[in-house]
Parts: sequence; C-alpha cells; structure tokens
Amino acid sequence: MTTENVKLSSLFAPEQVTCHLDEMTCHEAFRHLIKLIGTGDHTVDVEDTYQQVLARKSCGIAFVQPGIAVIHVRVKGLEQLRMAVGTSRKGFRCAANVEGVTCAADGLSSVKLIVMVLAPLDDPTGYLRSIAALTHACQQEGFIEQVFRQEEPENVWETFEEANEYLPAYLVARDIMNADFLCLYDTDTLSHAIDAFCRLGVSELPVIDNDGDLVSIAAEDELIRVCLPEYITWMEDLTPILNFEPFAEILRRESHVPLLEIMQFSDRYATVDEESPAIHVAKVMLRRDVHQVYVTRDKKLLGVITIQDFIHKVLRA
Amino acid sequence: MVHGNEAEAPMSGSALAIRFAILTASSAVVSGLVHFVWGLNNAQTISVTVFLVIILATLFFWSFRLAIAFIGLPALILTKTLDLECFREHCSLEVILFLIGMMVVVGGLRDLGFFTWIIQAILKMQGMTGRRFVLVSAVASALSASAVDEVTSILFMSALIFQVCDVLKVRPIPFLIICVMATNVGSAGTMLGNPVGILIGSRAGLTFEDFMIWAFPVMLLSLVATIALLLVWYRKEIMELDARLKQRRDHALPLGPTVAVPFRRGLLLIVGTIGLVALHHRIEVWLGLETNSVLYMAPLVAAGIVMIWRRGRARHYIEHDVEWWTLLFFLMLFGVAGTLQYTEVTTEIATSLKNLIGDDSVAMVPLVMTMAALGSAFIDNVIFVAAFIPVVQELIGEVAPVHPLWWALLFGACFGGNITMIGSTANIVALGMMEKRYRTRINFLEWFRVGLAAGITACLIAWLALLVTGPIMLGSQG
Repeated sequence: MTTENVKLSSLFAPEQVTCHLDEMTCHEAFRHLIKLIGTGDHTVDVEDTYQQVLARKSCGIAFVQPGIAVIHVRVKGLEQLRMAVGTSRKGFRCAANVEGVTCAADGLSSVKLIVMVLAPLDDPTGYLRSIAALTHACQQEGFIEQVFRQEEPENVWETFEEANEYLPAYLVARDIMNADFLCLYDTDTLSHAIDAFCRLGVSELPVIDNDGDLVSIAAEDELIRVCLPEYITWMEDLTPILNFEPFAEILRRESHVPLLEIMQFSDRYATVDEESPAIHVAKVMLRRDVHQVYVTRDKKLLGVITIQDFIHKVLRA
Repeated sequence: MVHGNEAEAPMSGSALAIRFAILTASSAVVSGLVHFVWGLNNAQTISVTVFLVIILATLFFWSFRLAIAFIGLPALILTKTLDLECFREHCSLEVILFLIGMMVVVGGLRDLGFFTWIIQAILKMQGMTGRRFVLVSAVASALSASAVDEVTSILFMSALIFQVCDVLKVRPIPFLIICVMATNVGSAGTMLGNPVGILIGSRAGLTFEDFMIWAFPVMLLSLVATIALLLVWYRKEIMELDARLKQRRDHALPLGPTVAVPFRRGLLLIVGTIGLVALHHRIEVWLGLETNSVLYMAPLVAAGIVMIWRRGRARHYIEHDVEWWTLLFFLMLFGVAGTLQYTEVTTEIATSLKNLIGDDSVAMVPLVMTMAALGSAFIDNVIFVAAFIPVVQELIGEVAPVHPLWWALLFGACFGGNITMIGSTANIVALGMMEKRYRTRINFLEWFRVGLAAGITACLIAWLALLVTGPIMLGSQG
C-alpha cells in the first residue's frame, strides 16, 4: 500500500506514457493504457481490468481540470499504485461513433490528457491521493501547457518529475468535497426554499451570504415543523386540520417570510475546515449524527461532503 | 403527566464503580455514625441506611432508582425493620390513586386540544413584546402547574418556548429557565400542583380550601418576586427577544400557525375536575363523608368519565399517560419513609430539633423551610417530604391541621426545586427536552447562580408571609 513521501512521477515510468493517441477511440485508449501498466506489472490482468473500466458508470471518469481526465480501477492483487498517461492533440473519439456500441465515456472529445490509475483493492485512499497530487500539479503555472506540448514519452514523464508533486500523506476534507454545490442566499424567502426543495429533491441546503460565507442551513424537516408545530400535533382529533389548514398560513406568506424561519441553529449542522483530515469528517458525521458536512475556509463555504460521497469515493471510486 | 425521558447516557465502567463506591462508603459511614455516635438501635440504623441508599441511588443511578427501591423494601421487611401492616399504612395508596386519576385527565385534555388552545391563545396575543411574553409565559406556567401539575405544565409551556425561540431564532435557555422556575413556584399553589402538595395534604388532613387560603396567595407573592428577579437577571436576552418580536410585528408575521381548536370540551373537563376537587370539603361535610375522601376520588371520577367519553383511547390513557414507573417509586418510597416513623427515627430527629430551637414550633418555620429547600435542591423533593412529614407531625403535636410548619415544608420543597437543575422533576423534564431538541446542555453553575437567587427570594417571601399568617392560623384554632 502506498504510504508517505510518494512522488507522483514515481507511479509510472516513460514506458507507461504514450503521446498522440489521436487515432484511438476512448475505449481503445483505455485498453492501451492498461496494457502499458501491465507490461511493467504482471499482476495486472489487462482484459479483466479493461472490463472493470467498461462496467463502471461513465467508465468512472473524473475530470480534474478541463481537458484532463482520470480513470481509476481497483485491482485485486496489485501491491502499489500504478499510473499510465496518454496525450492527444485532437481529443479522444467516442467509441459509439466508431464501433456502433453504447459509449458511456462521453465528453472526451476535448480531453487532451488521460491518466489511468490502478490502485490496490485494499487501498481506500490511494486513488484520491493521486488525484489530489495531480490536481496540485495541474495548478502549477504552465504545467498543463507543457505536458500538452511534449512529443516524446520521456519528456512527458520529465514534466511530471519536474513538477515535484508528492502524494499527500492523507486526504483532507478539500480532497473529497463536492465543490459544485447548490445553495440559498440569506436574503431569500421561504418561497425560494420550497421551490428548491421540490426541484432538487434534497433534504437540506446551505445558506450563504453575499460574501459566500456559510450562514446556516435550511432544512426540509424544519419547514414541516414550521407548517405543523408540535402543539398542533398533540390533538388526537385531527378534524380541525384535515385539510392541512396550518399550511395555509405558509402559502399566504411564503413570498415574504424570510428564510431565517427554517434555518437551523449552528449546533444542528456540522462544518469542517478544508484542511481537516478526511477521516475527521467521517468522525464528525457519526458523532453529530448528520448526513452531510460543510467544508469551509474561515467562514467561506467551499464544498459539501455527503455520506454518499464517502461511500462512493472511499469504498467504490 | 410525568413524561420524562428515562433514558440515561451510558455510564463508563469506572464511573459506575466510583459512584457505587461513594454510595456504599457513604451508607456505611452514616450507618456507623447513627448507630455508634447518635445511639440509634439496630432497626433504626437499618431504616436510616436503606433510606439513605435510596436517596443516593436517585442521585447517582437515576434509572435504577425503582430497582433499588424494590430491593430496599424487602430488605426492611425481611430484617423485621418494617412489617406489611405498617407498609400498607404508610404507602399512601390514596395519593397514588389521586395521581393516576389526574394523569388520565391530563391525557384527555391533551387529546381534546386544551393545551393547544392555550398555546395558540398566547401566540395570537396582539402587541407581544419581550417583557410581556416573559410575563405571560411565566404566569401561564405557574397557573397551569397549580391547575394540573408541574410536569404537564412544563411540557406544554416548553413547546411554546421552543416554538417562539425557533421562529425568532433566539437562545431558548433563559426563557425555558424562567418558565421552569415559575412552574416550580406555581406548583405550591394548590394540592394539584405537585405530588408534595397532595402528600402533605393527605398526611396533615389539609383541604383544597386550606391550600387556596394559606398557600395560593403566598405562591402569587413569591411568583411576582421571582418573575421580577428573572426580568432583571435576563434583561439582555429579553431585549433581544423584544427586538426580534418587533421585526416580526412590523412584517405582520405570526409566531406560529393557529387552527380552530374545539376547546370547549377540554375546558369543561378541567373546570369540572378542579371544581369537584375544590368543593371536596363542602361535599364531604354535606354528605358526612370521611375527610378528603371526595378529594381523592374526584380525579378518579373525572378519569372514568374521560375513559367512557373517549373509550377508544381509554387503554392508551392507562398504559401511556399514567407514569407507572414514577408512581411505583413513590409507593415504595412512602413505605420506606414510613419505616423512619415506625422505628421512631423521626421522633429522634424531632427531639433533636426541639433541643436545638426550643418548643416554639413557629420559630422552626425558617429552619424547616431551609432544610426542605436545601434537601429538595439536591434530592427528589418527594423523598424529602415523605421522610420529613412525621418529623413535622412530632414537632406540631396533636393540633388542628392548619399549621405554619406544613406550609414551610411545602414552600421549602417546591421553591427549593429552583436552586439546582436537578431540584425538581419539572427541571429534569424541561432540560431533557431541550437537550434532545437542540443537542445542547446547560451548565450547572449557569442554573445554580440564578436558581439560588430565585430560591432564596421565593423562600424569603414565603417566610415573611408565614410570619404574618402563622399567628392567624394558630389563633383561629383557639
């Protein structure tokens, strides 16, 4: 299992890099990259691994930056993280257009760099740590352009080597959060919240102010509590509320009732700093009995981590 | 009636061992002291020890208190410290039946929307300000405690506090504390307010009218003083509430939805029950019945009517609204406390007090009130009162029932409940609800500071009132 001080460039060698995959479909590129890893590590069953890629939803593709895709599979028997890199000037062709089959790996036409990551089956975080290191490398000025510019595998590998990026020793909240989240503004009304709950099918939404700072969360169960408070539910005889009479007040005033009405007190939701270890997020979820945690920098909301994110990214991704 | 959450946070093995060691050591030390220093005989020592174990068990092992009472009672009987006849005599079955009846009536009132109606009436009040909200909620808490019981009162008043604080997004703790303290003060107003009231009434032979004449006005005075103190104590929080209420009023937004509640049936039930209880003495005299026989039977009659009226819910009322756990504990406790009288431990205590203060029982008012207040602050006030009633009986001697010491015991036990957060069942129930809802706990000192001030204030008012009314009580008896 990969541990500390692992350099990103040490996960592959120039032999696991192919430039100009322009003539290949995306599926062919996947198989090719797996085969490159297989030549360096005989524990990898190329065909079996390829079938695993195809079996995953959208081939398990993650986009770390525009134009850069990462495909990941856990491989039984593999002892350490392995990587292969492929570049393309034109982008990858969709397999469906060529083979007449359903291709789940859409959206690759603008991708110029594919990174295939194979991780040991029992390494929960290796893949995510490699993505974190790759993301950091991509954030370095000129790194992406330089990789795209290279004509030879050795030069591609050297670009990675010169980036001098190491896999983080452990995952932090930022590495597993979903930065693409939906939210409400503290100036919104109950009407906005009800619309959002109905449209999105979520049970709670973060509420931010104009500076992007997390103010509170608006929760569905609080909305129901506002409509039907405890003191009304004490009555055994429901005749006075058979037609949802208490909800009428909300319908009449929802457009000018401030969102504050259904915001939770700060002790009812959990926040973590972006630098908190990811395992701390799991602890917070269990201790606080919450299904999602909000990731912040100071007070600014950066992302959301749900239990589903955990299960997906740590146990299945 | 008592719907407290019995669930207790799981205790670690070491915490359990430490508490058990303290319980055992304290019991051993006290039994040694009372036997060798005070000179109590074996039976007296056993009864004091078992009683002490039950007291400490309620402190350290709240959820095991009934189990310990179950073991304690046989321990007394098997060691011949208590016999079955004496247990039957002291277990106050009539008080237990009274409480069962009231619990069923309260269940019926809840089903009929009576409490919903009261909360809605407060929520609908026009021009509500922070100060007015505190006044209304505190007075409503006190009066409803007097009318039904302290735990029922705090259960539905907590719902009002949570509703208003949730809507206005203010911290509920200060307003919950105000209501709890008003509830504890109000519970001294009538026999219905607190199990302690009916127990004292039962043993002393006091009537509902006696409570209305000698306790209710003192309760009102103490309530005014307590509310005044709390208004000053929590002035910042009340100002914040006031500002939020103003914003709400400016936008013409209500504090919560309200519906048309058919409240008349509930009102008829509560007025009928209280009316029957209030007139019990006159009915007894008129029909030539034993003292307080109508008092104990009135809630049973009302409960019977509720169960016929709402026959589909009858089983629910008995199985869920009657707090059997607490009632069985009271039953055992009254029997165990009776042992102290049976073995003449209470006579020894009364003699010691007489040696300390002298024969003037009126001069003992502040002492009894202070002991009851301090006792109730740290242990269940029912336990303290059950044990102390025979002592007061010894101190008073064979005189007419109305005596200042009974009221001193009542006020001390009820008002002392305000001193700590574990001082009364109402405190524990309210804090449990808050903890469950807001996942927050109140600091012991945060409560203690205001509780001590409120407890002392209310007790001082009661003492001053008894200084005035005491001679009148004794004078009216010739």
